[in-house]
Formats: sequence, structure tokens, C-alpha cells
Amino acid sequence: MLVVMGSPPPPTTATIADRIADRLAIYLGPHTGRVAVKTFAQKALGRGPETLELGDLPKLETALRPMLRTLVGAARAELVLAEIRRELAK
Amino acid sequence: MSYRKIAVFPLIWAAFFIALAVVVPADARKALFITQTDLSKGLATVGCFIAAYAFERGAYMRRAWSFNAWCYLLLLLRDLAINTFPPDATLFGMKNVALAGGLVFVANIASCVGTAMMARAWTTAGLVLPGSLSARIGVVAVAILLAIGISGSDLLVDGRALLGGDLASMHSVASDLGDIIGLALIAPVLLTAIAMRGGVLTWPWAFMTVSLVCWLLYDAISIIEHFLPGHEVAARVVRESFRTLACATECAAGLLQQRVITAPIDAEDAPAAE
Repeated sequence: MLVVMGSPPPPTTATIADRIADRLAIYLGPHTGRVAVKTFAQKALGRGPETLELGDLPKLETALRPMLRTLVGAARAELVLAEIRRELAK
Repeated sequence: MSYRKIAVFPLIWAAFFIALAVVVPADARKALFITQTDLSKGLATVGCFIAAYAFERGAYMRRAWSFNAWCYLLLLLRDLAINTFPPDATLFGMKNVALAGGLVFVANIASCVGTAMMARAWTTAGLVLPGSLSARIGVVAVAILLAIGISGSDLLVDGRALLGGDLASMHSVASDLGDIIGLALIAPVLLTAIAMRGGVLTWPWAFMTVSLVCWLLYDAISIIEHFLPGHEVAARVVRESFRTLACATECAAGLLQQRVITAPIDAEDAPAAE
């Protein structure tokens, strides 16, 4: 995609779940990134990832934290969660 | 050091020793193999401890990496004991041969626990391995059959000797059992690496898998070389190369794990997903 300097960024069509999965994919890979969002959205909220709203983020973070802590340690897990918050704040 | 530079290191390390084994005179080869093995086990120990201490105290993966580090450290101590002192020498109040057997026994337990923890990390994290249940069972079954096929005959021979009263066979039995369990755990570690393809975490898991596969090939060549009379030297060089590669890839896995946790992530670090 060609981005012209000075023009406004193109409107994003990615859902909240896609944007969280993209952040997780850097560490877990795209497949597991998507699976993790689906698994932990179901666990924390009892709903599918397509229904995620910004207000669900704190509960989803709580659910994702133990998984991330196991795989990348506590400090990196908090960084990843902060990256997700930043991504959704855009 | 970047992911790719760490990834290339085991190949360079193994290639260096293969080249040395080819050029040194035959009577110096034994000393070369001892040095090569000890240095490689030392490297693996350092790599695993670096990975372990990248995690916070009490973390699941810190314990898993620590068990692997202790395995290599104890094997290194065993090598130093048997290469420095005669078998009947008394060290710490016991015969050297018994001390060496004890070190191998504990090292194998540490290896089995560490590898089993790595294999279970995915489930501990609350995730499900990729593929259907039957496909996953199939992969695990193949790994178990391979492990028994390669180390089962040794276990049978050593087990008979132990039951016949040869206590010196105890460390061989422990080593054979450790090999079978460790090799059977290749499947879940491999599935974890596959599940994370395209993400930076795939690096340490892929290298851990390669290390286990190299140990499998090391054991396999130990069997094959009996059927290759006249090629003992070539078989020994190949076998030692796989052991060196197994230790060096374990070291690289540890360094890659540490990098995932502590270094900033660049877009180029993630291997291609497809």
C-alpha cells in the first residue's frame, strides 16, 4: 500500500479482536494470536472474539496475563499488554 | 546479537569441530572429542541458565530451563570426574565410578523433568496445541515408537546386566530411560514450535526441538555403527558432531529465549509464518 506523506492515515477496518491478535502474533505467531484471543474472550467474557468492545479490555487483559507470563515472563507480559492498550487507544 | 546470528552459531560451532576432527592426527582425536564434548556441554549449561534467569523468580519457564541447565552441568561434572580420576579413585567418600553413575542418574531426572515442563508449557499457559486430537496423538505415538526403537535395545541389555547384579549398569539404565522419555517428548515440543510459527517465540522452541532431534540421531548412530565394521572412525566423528550440535542448539535455544524476553522486537525478527 502506498502511503503519501502528510495524508491522513487510512481508516482501519480491523476489528478489536484482530488488532489484539496482531499484537500477540509478534510473539505467538498469527495462528496462535487469533486462537488466544478466541480462547480467552470465551473464558473471560463467555462470548466470541467478534463481540469484543473496548470496555471488555480490562477483563480480557486479566485473562491473557497468566498465559503471557508463562511464555514470556512477567515483565515482557506487562509490555505486551501495554502495547495492546496503546494499539486500541489509537 | 540478532536472532539469525544466534541461529547460525551452532552450525559454525559444529563445523569447526568436524574440520578439526578431520585434520588432527588419529592419536589426538580422543582428546579432541573429550574437549569438544566438555566445551559443548559447558555452552549448553550457560545457555540454559541465561534463559532461566531471564524469567522472574518462581516462573514456570525459569524452573523448566533450570532443570535443563542442571542436567548439562551434572553431565559435565561427570565427564570431568571420569576423565580426570581413575574409576576406583575415592572422591567425596565414594568410588569415582559410583559418583559418575549417581551424577548421570540425577542429570537424567533433571533432563526428563525440564523437557516435560517445556512440553507442558503450552497447556500450562491455557492454550491448545494445533491439529486435531487424532493428529496430535499420532505425532506423539510416532515419537514414542522412535524413542523405544532407538534406545529400547540398550535399555534391555543394560537392564539385564543390572538385574544380574552389575551395579555399574545403573547409570546406563538411567541414561537409557532418560533418552526414551526425552526423545518421546520431541513431539509436544515440536508441536509448540509449529503452533508459534511466525512469532518470535518459535525461535527457542524450534531450537529446543532441533537439539532433541540431534540427541535422537546421536543415539541412532550409536546403534548403526555396530553394523558398519571398518567405518568406526567416520561413525564416531558423525556421532560426536550430533552431540556437539545437540549441545550448541540447546545453548542457542536458551539465548533465543532470553532475547525474546529482554530485547526489543523488530519486524524482521519473526520468522515467516508460511
